Amino acid sequence: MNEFIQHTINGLSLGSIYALVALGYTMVFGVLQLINFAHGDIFMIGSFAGLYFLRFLSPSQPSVGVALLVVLVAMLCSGLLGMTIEKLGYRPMRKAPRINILITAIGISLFLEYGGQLLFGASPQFFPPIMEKTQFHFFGDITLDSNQVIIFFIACGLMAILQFLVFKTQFGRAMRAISHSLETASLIGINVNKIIRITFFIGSALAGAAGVLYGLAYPKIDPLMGLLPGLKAFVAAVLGGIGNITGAVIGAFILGLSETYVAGYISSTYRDALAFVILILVLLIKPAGILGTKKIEKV
Amino acid sequence: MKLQFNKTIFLILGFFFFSLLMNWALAGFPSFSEINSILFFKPGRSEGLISPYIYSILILLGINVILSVSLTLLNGFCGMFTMGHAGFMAIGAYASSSAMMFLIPEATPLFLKLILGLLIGGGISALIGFLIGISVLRLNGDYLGMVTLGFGEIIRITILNIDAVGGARGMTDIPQMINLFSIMFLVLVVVLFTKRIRDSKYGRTMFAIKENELATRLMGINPTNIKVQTFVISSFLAGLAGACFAHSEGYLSTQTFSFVKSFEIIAMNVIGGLGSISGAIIGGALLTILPEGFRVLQDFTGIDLRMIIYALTITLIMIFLPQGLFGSKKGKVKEFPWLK
Repeated sequence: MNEFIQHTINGLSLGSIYALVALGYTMVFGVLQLINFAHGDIFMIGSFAGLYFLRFLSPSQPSVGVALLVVLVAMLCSGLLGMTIEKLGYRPMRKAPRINILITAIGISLFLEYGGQLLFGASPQFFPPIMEKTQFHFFGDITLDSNQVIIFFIACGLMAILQFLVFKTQFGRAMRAISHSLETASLIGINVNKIIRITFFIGSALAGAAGVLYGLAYPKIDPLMGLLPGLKAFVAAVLGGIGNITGAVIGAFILGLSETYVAGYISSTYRDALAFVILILVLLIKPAGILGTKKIEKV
Repeated sequence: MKLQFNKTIFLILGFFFFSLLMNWALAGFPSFSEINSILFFKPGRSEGLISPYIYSILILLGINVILSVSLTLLNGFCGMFTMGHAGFMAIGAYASSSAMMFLIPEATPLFLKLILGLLIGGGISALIGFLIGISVLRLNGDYLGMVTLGFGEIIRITILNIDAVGGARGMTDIPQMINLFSIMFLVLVVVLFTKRIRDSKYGRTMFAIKENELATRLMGINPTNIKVQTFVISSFLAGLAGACFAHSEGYLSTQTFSFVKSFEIIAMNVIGGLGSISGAIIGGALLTILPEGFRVLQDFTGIDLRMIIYALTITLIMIFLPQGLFGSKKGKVKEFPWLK
């Protein structure tokens, strides 16, 4: 039982990181029906931005304030990067066939990866602990890391802010209108380009925050680190119903939890396969995902 | 009885001798003792006109062209968007090399060994393609892409966990049997095969499914059947390319067959122009040569800008030439005269 609780704690912390990345996927898919494969690399850039800002600050005393500041800077960098990518890469392609946009996304992703290798070096770098790490012990052998608590709470805080933005503000309403129909939204006077730009900014900023949190949890980062978490977050978004914001969070927690259970009880080599098994099962049984609605093809 | 010259047979025979001569000229003539080893299925050697490096690039180019053409069947003709083609390549590569190591006796003539290896690689890949195909092909569009992406990765991770084929260490000591001649010949056969499919009634059905699946169903055709068959053929060809890859490199690692490779194959198709066989050939050739060609640049700059320029080129081609090199706005694709 203790072991189970331990895995659950680890899974929740992993799941909250996935959730932040998955939100970006699902928001972009919602407005543009585009799978932004460069999203995992935006996550990587966020992590490196955090690392370099931390080195620049070189704080003498680790504290929560510094952690929040680093997260904010990483969010800003990633967000601006996301906006730039949208402006230079995706906007000229908006009327092109979907597969072309996909190839563009892959091209951008490769560009960021190899650019990152050139800029930061290909070897993994150590992400210094921002926080004093304290461990709490419960019932004998359950360990709760202070980092895990912070990751969970920062992630949940960001998700709450996003929830507010999407469902309570003018911007959110415009974004949801675009996800219903881009043409109609532009007809009723919504500045589609602006909303899409902001959507990219927010989605990428969340990925940047996730990058820093990932560095806190697994303190070894390299330019190719975005590949697998990016793909898994994508699976999480599909699992919850791609385009659905609440669904992405639910999917990410399910994925994070099941991944730690598989790694803990079965074998850690199969943990990467699990995400894809889940992906296939979801798509074969309920292609629209947990919270997605099925679209009926009309003639 | 009058002797009839079949154009295709003529072309294949002509090309057979042409590529044989080509291989000799480029990689050196075989010595007398080698002439005895059947049909010179030997890896290239260095005393010819070109360096072994360029020779190996040309072989890789052939493999990529086969991959690209095999994906054209699915993506270009049938309109099925798959993102897991590297998985089938992996199956072909590993199946063929394991057959070589555990199944086929060492003493088998080289020629027979190669044919068997290629058939086993393609066959097992086709079999798994069939199993995957019947389960996933009722999905459409993006969802099909996602699910094939998942299958491709699962195939890779499964192979990674099989210790008999090397697991994470990779598979070594695979007999090298592919030379430029055999790969050129295979490319020609695959290209002509694809052309014949495209021009047949069967190919027309594929295009009909691409245009409108519902309308095709109304014409009394079962699209699912056609789609499964296309999937099987395409995975057979991908497996063939994988087997060629294994027997030309002599070393396999699962890292080669990640989803990045699948994306590369899609990029070859799209850059060439979706639905055009000529486009697939040129796209495959271009994406092999581009990263190697930029190596020259490295001498000037001193740093490895190769992959960065490669990535930028793909992106720019997509932005400024969205139809690909052989596509056109009206949806009719261009072809080389001999592929029309």
